[in-house]
Amino acid sequence: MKQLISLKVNGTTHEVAVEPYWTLLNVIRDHLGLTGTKRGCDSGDCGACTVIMNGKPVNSCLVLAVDARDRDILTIEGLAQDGKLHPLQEAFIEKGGIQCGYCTPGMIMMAKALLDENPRPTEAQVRQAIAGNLCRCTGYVKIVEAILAASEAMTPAKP
Amino acid sequence: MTATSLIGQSIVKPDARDKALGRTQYGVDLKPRDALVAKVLRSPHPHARILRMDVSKARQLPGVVAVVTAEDTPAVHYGRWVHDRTVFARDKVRHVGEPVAAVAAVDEDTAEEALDLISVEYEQIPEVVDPQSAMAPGAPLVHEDMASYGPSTVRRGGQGNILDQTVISAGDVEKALAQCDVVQRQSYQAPATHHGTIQTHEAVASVDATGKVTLWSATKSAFAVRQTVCLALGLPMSRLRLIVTAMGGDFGARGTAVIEPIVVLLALKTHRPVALTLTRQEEFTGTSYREPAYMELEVGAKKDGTLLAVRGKYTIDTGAYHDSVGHLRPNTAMLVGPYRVPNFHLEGFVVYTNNVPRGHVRAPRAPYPIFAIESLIDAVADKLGMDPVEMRLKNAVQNGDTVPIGAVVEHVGFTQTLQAVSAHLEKEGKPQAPNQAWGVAAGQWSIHPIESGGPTSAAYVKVNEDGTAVLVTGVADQGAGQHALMAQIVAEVLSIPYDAVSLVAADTDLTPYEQATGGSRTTYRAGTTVRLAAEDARRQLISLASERLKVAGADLGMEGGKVFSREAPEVSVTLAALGAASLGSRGGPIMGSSNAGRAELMEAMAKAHGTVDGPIYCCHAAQVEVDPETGQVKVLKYFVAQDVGRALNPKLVEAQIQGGVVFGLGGALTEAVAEQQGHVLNANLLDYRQPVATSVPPIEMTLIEEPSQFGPWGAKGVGEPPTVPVGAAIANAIFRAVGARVTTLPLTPDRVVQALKNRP
Repeated sequence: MKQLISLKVNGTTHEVAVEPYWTLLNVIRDHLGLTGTKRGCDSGDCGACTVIMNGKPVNSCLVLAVDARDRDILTIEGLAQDGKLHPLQEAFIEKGGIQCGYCTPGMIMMAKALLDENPRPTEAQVRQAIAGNLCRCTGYVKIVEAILAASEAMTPAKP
Repeated sequence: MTATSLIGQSIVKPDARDKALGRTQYGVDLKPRDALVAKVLRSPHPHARILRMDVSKARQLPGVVAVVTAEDTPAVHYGRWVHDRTVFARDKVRHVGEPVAAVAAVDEDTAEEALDLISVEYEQIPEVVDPQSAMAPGAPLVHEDMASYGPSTVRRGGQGNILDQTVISAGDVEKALAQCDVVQRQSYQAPATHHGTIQTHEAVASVDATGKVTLWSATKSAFAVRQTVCLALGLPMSRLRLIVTAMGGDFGARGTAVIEPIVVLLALKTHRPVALTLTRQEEFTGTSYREPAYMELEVGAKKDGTLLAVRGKYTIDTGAYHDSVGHLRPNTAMLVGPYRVPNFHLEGFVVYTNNVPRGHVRAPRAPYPIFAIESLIDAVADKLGMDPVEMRLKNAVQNGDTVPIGAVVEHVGFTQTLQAVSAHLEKEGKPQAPNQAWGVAAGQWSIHPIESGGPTSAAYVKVNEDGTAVLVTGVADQGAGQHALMAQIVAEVLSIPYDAVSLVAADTDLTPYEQATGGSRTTYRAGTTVRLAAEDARRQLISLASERLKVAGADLGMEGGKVFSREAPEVSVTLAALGAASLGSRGGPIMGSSNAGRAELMEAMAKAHGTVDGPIYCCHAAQVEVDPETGQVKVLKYFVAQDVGRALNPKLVEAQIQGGVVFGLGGALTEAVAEQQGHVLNANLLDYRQPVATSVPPIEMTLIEEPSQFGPWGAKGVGEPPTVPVGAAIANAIFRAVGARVTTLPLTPDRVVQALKNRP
């Protein structure tokens, strides 16, 4: 039986009737129409559906929508502010970290969660953080460069 | 080119911004809200007769709008290269995952429930799952009526389960081997591997009141897929429009019709939009991917390292249906590698089995024969006490050589790649730590002779009234930046800023024909076509300017958005003025067509007929560390030297090489589809291990630019070759580090440990 829940996504609260077994990914994509979050495996193996929930990165395919009730959810669509791209988005574009772009939203959300917690990660820490996000195009090289560049832009090293 | 040339500039891909914002629409992202959801019922058996099927209960389920089976399709066989399949299994199933029925329902839950309500009674029959058994006399036949399959142009063995076979030979191998100072022989094996795109296959179809179907598909071969769907469903091409959506990776996955016939059939049945997304599990049983291969190889050389003879056999398990291009000869010829070998005898076989169908994965069919020859050449060099790069340099194919397929290679940059590796290894020095070493391997791609036909590709360039331009091309962009490159070419020819060119692409009703974005052909072939279209637009602009300025066309130049007299540059007219003036002019609005300059191109190609113009050669070096206790291999550093002809956009070239190497690292170290009696045991992205960010070494590279004749500004293809030699480079590095030869891919710890035990 469907339950009415409220979901706060990118600052907007939505009332949605959901089946208890529906995932957050399904609801974000099919009911809220936010298709920027990608589906790759439905089993938490690829990271394409990564969103930030109460400040923590989660695979939205592994979170039941009912468990996301009243949580604060940030998706890729909520990252740019007033038409201004987030430094991570800028860096992914500039450094060539985007090829097909299908892993990009999940990758950027994972990177944001990392930089929120650790503004100046080492390269090894960046690689560790995104080790659950598969990319088949780039070999990760330019993605890692982009995250490090965004970190530098957001939190310049002290002289 | 002029000082302001865009060629060689790393322009940022224009699609990146939308992708970073999450706005790009892939596959079902653009489905209408009222779209029905489709699901496919698939065979649970590798080989079975269908005795009875009952779909009545599924049809009665509320919310189900259509259930379709083989009875709803014309009785035709279709396929991309061999017409060996039907949309749904008819009398028997030939592999686990073969579609037997499909449903369209109001939502996913209902569609899944409907699948459970379809009852199929099977009678299992013996399966064949390896090519050796399948080739044995009396083996169960996968296809009883193979001889009737079209088209007749595809060469087929036509016996038993052998679809295709070939023999290529030269000289006298027996005699030559007897004269060799060193002869090494070895068998090699490699598994099925998956393209592993992060987006699974997705498509949406919709039908209007006149019966016209629009199909949105994440495919790289819009026209080929349209042709296949029309053949499978008996539709005239005028009734099917295919629009390509953004693709979440390709790597060979998106070149053939996979789900499109089913989606279109359901849309025609229901008169409603229908969307289908394959599950990750279905990606492993309902698509086609790299074929397992078996290589037997014997190589002989003189004391000084001169290669004298190669004898080889290459056997491919093509699964239940053949989704690979029919290039068995060049693939078999890869068994001699990029070397001058005067005597060879090579046999190739393509064999049907009851495994999941095989098709294309990045650099189709190249990595495995290269794994074999590059491993064995390395063993010969070791036996002779020769430096492995030196050995390769001594035998490297050169300009003007006739290669085993019988064509002459031109514009060969192989030696330069070997020299670059040699220089890099010198700079790096030998690793001092124990169990560490560098290994090298060479690779090749696009060893196809120029054929009598021209490029199967066309393009238009329209010049707007303000002097900006629109490129209309069939080229689909899988993310490598093909659209950016095509626009870059137009901007260069018209001497306008890059962002003054926009692009309409990959729509079968709107854009001209394009073969496919694959085989590293897009920059080389489609790029040439786009250049012709831009040059035609340029000619039209010059001609119009000549009328207006009263200056002969030959005396006019074009730069910075203007046409001007070379003698008196102040006599000029802007492209904007020309674009506007063209509207009512005698020649009409400016619309350049690639067909205009085609005759000249084809004349030049006819002169070069039978030669290989854009052969791509590369050499890789990998530094590994092997743990002799556990067999764990760690790749510490990686170096690539590749001949790219001309790097039109160096950043995009670099990105292709980095991505290609890491793709190859997966195949070298971890990736294998685990198959047992036709069943896939690891149909998910946890157990099928693709490389992750922590498993990737630093990658350095040197680009060699040995220009091709027919690629734009000398460019050659880039994307496929970097995947080709990786397995051999790592295997050779393992040998140099710990003395163990692993001859089966992937090079897993257990195989390394076993090879260490087998050390002589």
